[in-house]
Amino acid sequence: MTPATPTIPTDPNLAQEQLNAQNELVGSLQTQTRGDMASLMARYGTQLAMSGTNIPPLVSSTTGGLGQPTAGRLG
Amino acid sequence: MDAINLPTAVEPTTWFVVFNPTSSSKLLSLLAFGHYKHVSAFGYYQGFKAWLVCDAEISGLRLPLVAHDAMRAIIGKYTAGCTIVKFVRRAEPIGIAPLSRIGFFCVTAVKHLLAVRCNSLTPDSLYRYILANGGQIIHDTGNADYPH
Repeated sequence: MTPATPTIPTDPNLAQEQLNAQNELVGSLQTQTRGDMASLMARYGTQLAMSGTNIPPLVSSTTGGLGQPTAGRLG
Repeated sequence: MDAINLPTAVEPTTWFVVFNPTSSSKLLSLLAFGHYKHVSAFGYYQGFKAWLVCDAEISGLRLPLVAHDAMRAIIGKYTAGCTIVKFVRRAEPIGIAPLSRIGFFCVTAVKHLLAVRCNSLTPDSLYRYILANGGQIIHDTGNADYPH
């Protein structure tokens, strides 16, 4: 017979702390991503703004542009 | 110095699963056919104000504990270009599930962390499974073309 796994009690204060921490982390992530996007916009301008839309790319992806099929892949 | 009352035992139940379209290993990139090449996860330790990162790399399993403030500072770089999916660990035991236990690499490590019973062997397959079973995308940079 498999022994029962001990249950770790949940402290409501700690649960709230976890929720706050998660929200703070997501907030930090979004802030940092906005910074990245701002620098990318400065670098690539309208090409980046149009990536992910149905507007045809102005520059071929083989020449380093951000059009299809690499649209949306910024990494 | 302030006294800190730590809980006697804590374990994350909510995990943030990071799907990365790149891998440090070219071999693994070839083997993990699909969009995502690597998967890791991090979860919050209540009371300790720290995040545990679980990352089964080719160099070995890494489990760094990162202070919350430090995590906030590095989260952008750590998850650049990745998709993050929030997932609550399953309460039910996995059971024997031999197909769920094959090998030990990034996908199986995260599967066990989340206690999910599925046959996924690639990050893409795990990604689809998690989304189909209550996973919630909380962040996605650069993977908009990949079906969610």
